[in-house]
Amino acid sequence: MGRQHENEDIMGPAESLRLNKVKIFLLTLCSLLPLCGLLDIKTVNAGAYLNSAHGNSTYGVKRSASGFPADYTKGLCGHCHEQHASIDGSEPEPIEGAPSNYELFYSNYLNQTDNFCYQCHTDVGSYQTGGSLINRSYSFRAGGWTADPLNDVLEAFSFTTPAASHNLDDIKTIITAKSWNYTSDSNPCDACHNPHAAQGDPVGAPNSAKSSGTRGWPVSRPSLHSKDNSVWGLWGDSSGEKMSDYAGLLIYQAPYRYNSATTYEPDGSTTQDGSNLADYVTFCTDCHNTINTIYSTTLGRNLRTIDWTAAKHGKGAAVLDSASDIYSPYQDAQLGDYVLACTDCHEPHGSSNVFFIRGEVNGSVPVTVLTEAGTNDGPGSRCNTEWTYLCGKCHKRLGASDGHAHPSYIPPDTEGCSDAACHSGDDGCIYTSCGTCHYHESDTVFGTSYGEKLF
Amino acid sequence: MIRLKLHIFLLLIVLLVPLFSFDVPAVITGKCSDCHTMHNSQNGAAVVSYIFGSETTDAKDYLLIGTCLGCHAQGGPSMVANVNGNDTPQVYHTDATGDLAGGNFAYIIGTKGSGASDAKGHNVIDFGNNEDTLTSPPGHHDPDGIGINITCDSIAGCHGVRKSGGGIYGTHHRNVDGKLTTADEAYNSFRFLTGVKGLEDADWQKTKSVSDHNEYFGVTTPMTYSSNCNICHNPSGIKPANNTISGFCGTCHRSFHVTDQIGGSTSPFTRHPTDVILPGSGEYSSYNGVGNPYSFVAPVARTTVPDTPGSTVAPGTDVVMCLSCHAAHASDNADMMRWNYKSATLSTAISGCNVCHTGKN
Repeated sequence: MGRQHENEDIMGPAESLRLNKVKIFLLTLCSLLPLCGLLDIKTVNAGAYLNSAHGNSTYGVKRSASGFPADYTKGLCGHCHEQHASIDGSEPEPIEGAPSNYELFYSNYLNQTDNFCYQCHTDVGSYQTGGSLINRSYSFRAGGWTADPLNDVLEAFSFTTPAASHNLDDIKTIITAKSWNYTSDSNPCDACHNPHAAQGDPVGAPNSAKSSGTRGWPVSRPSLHSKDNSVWGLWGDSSGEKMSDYAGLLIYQAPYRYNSATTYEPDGSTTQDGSNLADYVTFCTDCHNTINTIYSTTLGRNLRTIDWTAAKHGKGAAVLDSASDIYSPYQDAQLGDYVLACTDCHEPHGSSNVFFIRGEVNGSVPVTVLTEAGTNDGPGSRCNTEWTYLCGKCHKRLGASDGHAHPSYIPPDTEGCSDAACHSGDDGCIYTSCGTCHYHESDTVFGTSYGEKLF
Repeated sequence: MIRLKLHIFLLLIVLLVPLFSFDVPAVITGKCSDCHTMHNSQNGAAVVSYIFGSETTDAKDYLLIGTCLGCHAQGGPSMVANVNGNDTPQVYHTDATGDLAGGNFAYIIGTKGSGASDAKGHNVIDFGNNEDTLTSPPGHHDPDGIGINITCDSIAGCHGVRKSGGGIYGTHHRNVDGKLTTADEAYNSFRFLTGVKGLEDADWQKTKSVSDHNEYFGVTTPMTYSSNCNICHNPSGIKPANNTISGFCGTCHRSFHVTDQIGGSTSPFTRHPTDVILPGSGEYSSYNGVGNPYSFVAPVARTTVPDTPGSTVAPGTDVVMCLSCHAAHASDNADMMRWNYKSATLSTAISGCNVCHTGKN
């Protein structure tokens, strides 16, 4: 109160005049506001769509096609939806000959490599203005590995054995089986993305790595799916939806950015507690949990269920022993407290590796894993050790010179180096692959219970 | 004392009259010579005077003193003109204060608005402006027998009896105004659109507010074609079997309306549906904001023709129609849209969509 009085004392005539003008302006504003109601004038507030990648007026969707109006502004509904399946009396390209569901200009979903989204999300022949829409891998965008040649979404979903892509048919099967408001007409891309809300990450710069100033939030949880755009929000953009929210009980430690020991995923900043990363554990375990049985067409079997609550890489307790020796930024002393995000190791769409393992992990390359069992050569051309391309990004002492530093503990029914199971040499290799013992939910060694989780 | 009572009575009359709204019947009540001339000659001069453009003052059919456009498209500064003492709605004018409910053909010609464009409205050939883009009504069956040279009435028009030899003949004389729920002939149909039910605003929406406007009739499921020509074709002329304004549009733009060609009667639709209920849940429940006030940007149809205009919209009950997005005659926007869908400002371009699709803003 005293401060206000003080201001009044020092206010000169010019200041008073300015104040009066402000008062007049506010009074006029107050007088005019009711007129807005009378005249049916609505103020437009930017909502989820106008804040989305598709609905952005600067870099949003803009179709360029024969027969399509060139003067539709960026982000306009008509770039995706043809309200009458024709414009000016005829159907613009692409011409399918029949109108498509949801008034889309192309069939919503046909198969793994042919659906509506790919009509724009491809680097060649894209209907997005310019003819090429670049979208980079997670390793590129979050990991900062800008040498990753993968450059569009169609490519990411086109990997075939031994590489792998998230199988869209399988995704469609599970989302329609759940009570998540999906139907047989749904596009499986919508399992993870709300096309009317998804943001670029980085925003407006799909050919760049993320930075702290260009963050967007691209995913929405499938279990929260709603056809109501006001309800199905983004995941990761709010408090309670970050990897840092595990703090208190657990620690999220961001991996290093590529070729750096000072900056971290996902945005190349010094933030390393996951406060800038969506809680991908909660997101992915909507599907990949202990309840859902998910058949993998790619693998020809059901996927292993995942109990991230018990997994050592998850919320379960890891054991600090002589084999536990890990690379920075992870620290031995905090083993048992870490919870990893799925995206620390996996690409979301696909990669040149099995299980769409990332090509860059914890700041370095290469990561080349082409067999589920890991029977290809690994670093140093050692047979059966290709999984160490991945595991070795965080775990030390996996090299040839480390002997039995790992595993330090030999199951009781085996006999060390002479054990036939470990070193049978049937395949001409003296090494046992990582995947023999370590995979999601594994807790046995050669069929014998190990007594604790091995992943 | 008696004088005082009389004064009180008159005062009550004056005060109470505004509480009642009356639709003034448009049945012709004036002199015959207001519209007709026996010999098209008076003092040696032609009496025919209400003509448009290059139309001549030669004697007209039915002894009329003018043509459709001559009376209703005078191009003057008012959206309602005086024709021999009769308020006459104008479909072509330069009135800067607005347009009547059907829109204004002047936007096509360019005498009003942001510039001439065929895409701004129905190209009625009588205006002398040829359609240069389309070759037939979009969505119509082919061959359609109509072409693109539509006119005001008859087989290639919208008003009156829509068959060969049909027209507007007699409808003004028999016109039923206000609430129209019979709609079996042109005169008792909404705006002489044969077969269409509705509630006509008395001044064609020259004045309008949320409680002062036309009411359009709709149903909860569009018509199904299924090779049944009778949904439109009738011995008495072309008219929609379902009596809706959207069904009427569908008589020329069939594939934009019938269930066979819009993906059925429930989502997912392959074309934007009409004659379907605006959903009562989700984003639609917020139609036009708090309280769901009636919107002139994206109006709805009612499944029951009301006695008086409704000031609010009921998601879950009211119906999407062609006129939710489009003007009937013409607007200043491409594709006869009610808002500028081609605005360079995205929020403006989708503002009309957002009246219903409130979560897509």
